Amino acid sequence: MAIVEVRDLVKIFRVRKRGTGPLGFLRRKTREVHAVDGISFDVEEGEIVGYIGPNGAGKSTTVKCLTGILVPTSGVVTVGGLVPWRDRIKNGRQIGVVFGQKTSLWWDVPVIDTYRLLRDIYDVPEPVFRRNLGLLDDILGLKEFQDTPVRQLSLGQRVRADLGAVMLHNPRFLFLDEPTIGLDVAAKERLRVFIANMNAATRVTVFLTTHDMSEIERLCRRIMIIDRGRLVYSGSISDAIQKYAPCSDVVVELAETPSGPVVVEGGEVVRQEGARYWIRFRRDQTTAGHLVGQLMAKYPVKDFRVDDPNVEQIVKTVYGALAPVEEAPK
Amino acid sequence: MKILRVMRGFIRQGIQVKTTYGMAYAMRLVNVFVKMVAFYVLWSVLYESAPGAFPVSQVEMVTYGAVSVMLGEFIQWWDGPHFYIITQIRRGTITSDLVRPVYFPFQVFSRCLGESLAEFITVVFPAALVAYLVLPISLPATLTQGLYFALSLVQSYLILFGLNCLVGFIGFYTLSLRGIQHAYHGLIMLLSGAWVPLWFFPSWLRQVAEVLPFRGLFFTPLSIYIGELQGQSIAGTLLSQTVWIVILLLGVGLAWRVVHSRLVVQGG
Amino acid sequence: MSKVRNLRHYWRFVRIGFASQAQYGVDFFIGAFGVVLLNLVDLVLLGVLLQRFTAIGGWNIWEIVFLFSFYLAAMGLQNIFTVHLGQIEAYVQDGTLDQFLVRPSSPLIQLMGREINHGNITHVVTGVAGIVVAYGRLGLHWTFAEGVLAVVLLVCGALVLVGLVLGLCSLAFWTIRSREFLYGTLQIQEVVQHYPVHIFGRWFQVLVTGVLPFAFINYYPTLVLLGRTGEAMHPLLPWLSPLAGVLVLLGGIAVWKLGLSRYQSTGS
Repeated sequence: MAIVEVRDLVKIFRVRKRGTGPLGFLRRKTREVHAVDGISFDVEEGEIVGYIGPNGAGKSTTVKCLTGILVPTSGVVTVGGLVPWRDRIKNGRQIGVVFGQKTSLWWDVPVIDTYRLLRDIYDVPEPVFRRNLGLLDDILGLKEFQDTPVRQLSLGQRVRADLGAVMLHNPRFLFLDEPTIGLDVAAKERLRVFIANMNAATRVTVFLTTHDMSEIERLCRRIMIIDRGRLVYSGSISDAIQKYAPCSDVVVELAETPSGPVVVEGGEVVRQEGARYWIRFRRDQTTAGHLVGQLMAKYPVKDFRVDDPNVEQIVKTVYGALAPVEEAPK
Repeated sequence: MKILRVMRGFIRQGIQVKTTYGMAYAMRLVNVFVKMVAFYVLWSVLYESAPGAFPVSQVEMVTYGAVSVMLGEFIQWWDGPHFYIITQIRRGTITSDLVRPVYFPFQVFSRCLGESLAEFITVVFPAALVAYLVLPISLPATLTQGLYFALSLVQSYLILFGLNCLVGFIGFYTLSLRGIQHAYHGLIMLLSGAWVPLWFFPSWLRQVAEVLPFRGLFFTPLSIYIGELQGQSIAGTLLSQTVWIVILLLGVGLAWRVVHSRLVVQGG
Repeated sequence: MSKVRNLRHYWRFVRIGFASQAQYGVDFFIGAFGVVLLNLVDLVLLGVLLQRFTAIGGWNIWEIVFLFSFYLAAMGLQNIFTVHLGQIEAYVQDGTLDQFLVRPSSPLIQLMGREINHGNITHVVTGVAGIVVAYGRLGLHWTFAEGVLAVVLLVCGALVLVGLVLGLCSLAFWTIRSREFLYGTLQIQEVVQHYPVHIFGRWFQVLVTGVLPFAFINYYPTLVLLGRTGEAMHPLLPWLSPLAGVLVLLGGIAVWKLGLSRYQSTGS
């Protein structure tokens, strides 16, 4: 049974631009931006869903509608049976949100003080609070810095503190908006482990928006791709790969360059650098093994490998297949 | 001349900053105008209650008040070199200022002058225009009086610059202006004649004020403007302003030499 | 959303706030020194004036001190709790406001609770000290009931200012430069703090009573406490001060709520 239901979500913004010149504030042009233009999807309980799309595609707007920050122009959204913006307080109790680079903790006080404050805000009973704290400490190593004011923490520690803060009240839903920006590899890995563990332990439903492909690949069984307000793809990663990147490459290095072109049945040479050849083939038509077999029979193969597509390539294909996105002038 | 070009750049920058936000700009104009009206009403009320207590006429007193507001907005005595210096130190960007082949105090001066001129063009001039139309205030009685006023105004600006710079350099050592700033601003408020002209002060306070440079900021130019100071006494007061300028600028030069060497040795 | 729960949250914020402002020490005292000094200078100047004029608008120096100090204390009280409202503008633009919206708690309480400015206790203490001194010099003798009334009027004066600040800062939901509106009233506030508003004429009295009700912060309460209610536009008006406090506060909250709902439908 779907625990999050979105039907025909539409969010239109009216954007006012100043006219030019010194009295520009008197002349203003208004135009409508359809940030979200009719999106529908379901999320099952316990799913970890990846929500990806180019900048300005409407990812943040969708998340804001799901968390009660924005009121949609039209459409239906229910999260755990509640309408986020209408039942804001009740919804607040069942969700946890992590906003990218911004900390939700008090800056000058020890982490544990903010935790106690959150305990009050979320009405977490004391024994539950203590138990959760212990659990989070096991996973995040909170005791190491929980008495330090937030402003003295390193970035990695601060992220851990934020993660702890968001799970204190056992939310049913976890919304993560670009949580790994600016983190090093170790920290990203810790975040990934955290999400996976929490999901396994508490069946929390996770909605993850990110540009980081490794997160998507390792965490999400399902992804949704949004572009210019429309849902372009919703399904499993493997299906997406099959749909958008049906080809793989056999990269073969020959001992010496042959006299003529390299020809192989079922594959096509797409790139050549010296004695190294990239040979592309469709996975539903032939196999890497078949190609390599042919190559080794006809040419002096020194080395080879197989490049399978990843999520990044899907995304590039999807983005590229659609009209180019306007880049904001810098 | 390169100096004029640099100055023009600063002025243009200043104007842009001040007028980019239309609302902010309008609010500042409103505030300046309200202040002038407040002084006008205050002095009118006081004058009517005891005309004999004033050595000047009502028009002159009201003019003193209004022009004081305009002068204050122009020289921006509560802001300026000292804050600029401190911010630059705190941000560490002072190094880029030092690398330029221009004498640092002069850089600071031209920047602040640019700001003030921008302020004049955008705020003071329009406010003055409206004030002259609406309030019963007067212009200097004769052209010569006006010229003396202009001269004392220039000197007042230099005195303020010198004072603010010295205060800013003190900030080098303390890295914060907070303590001195309050005392400094208090002194200016009290002894410059910006609000209450010095002729109202009890004699002992007046004597203290005469000895210090602060009265050169407001009281001197304003008295010349409204004609309370005439003929011979003008020369004397202008001279006392000049003396202070020399003292203060020498002080700035000295202080800068000390601070500069310390900066070079210690880094930012 | 239960009010009791809101208050409990706020109380917890206050306690955290105390912990976070653990910079009692030199910094605090420098700040305190500055506050006291500048207000003293203000009062000294007023004193100098009143030496010559014995009265402004019929008010003698100690009555003015009472008026001035009352404003100071109310303003200090207000500032302790509402200092963070100035951040509304920044939070709207950078999205920090969203954090408050996803929690099951009033965003306004969270916002105000984010920063408690104890430094302003100096203003309160200085203001109360001024009131006490003026009380003595004026030879007042309040009964216990009148003393309680004074405290009530002070708190209500603070509420008026809270409502006004909240309303003006909430304009950030509509325009980028909401701070400028608050700044735009600064001059009017200064005037109301220093002088009895009736000297500025009827239209000004209407302005600061009905449009921007700053007069209910100190002027009307002072009229009540000094027994001068006859000077008001209507003798019953000063007694409405407590009601004004509640109404302006509710008005400010209404503007906030309106702005918040606008934020939720139009984004930032």
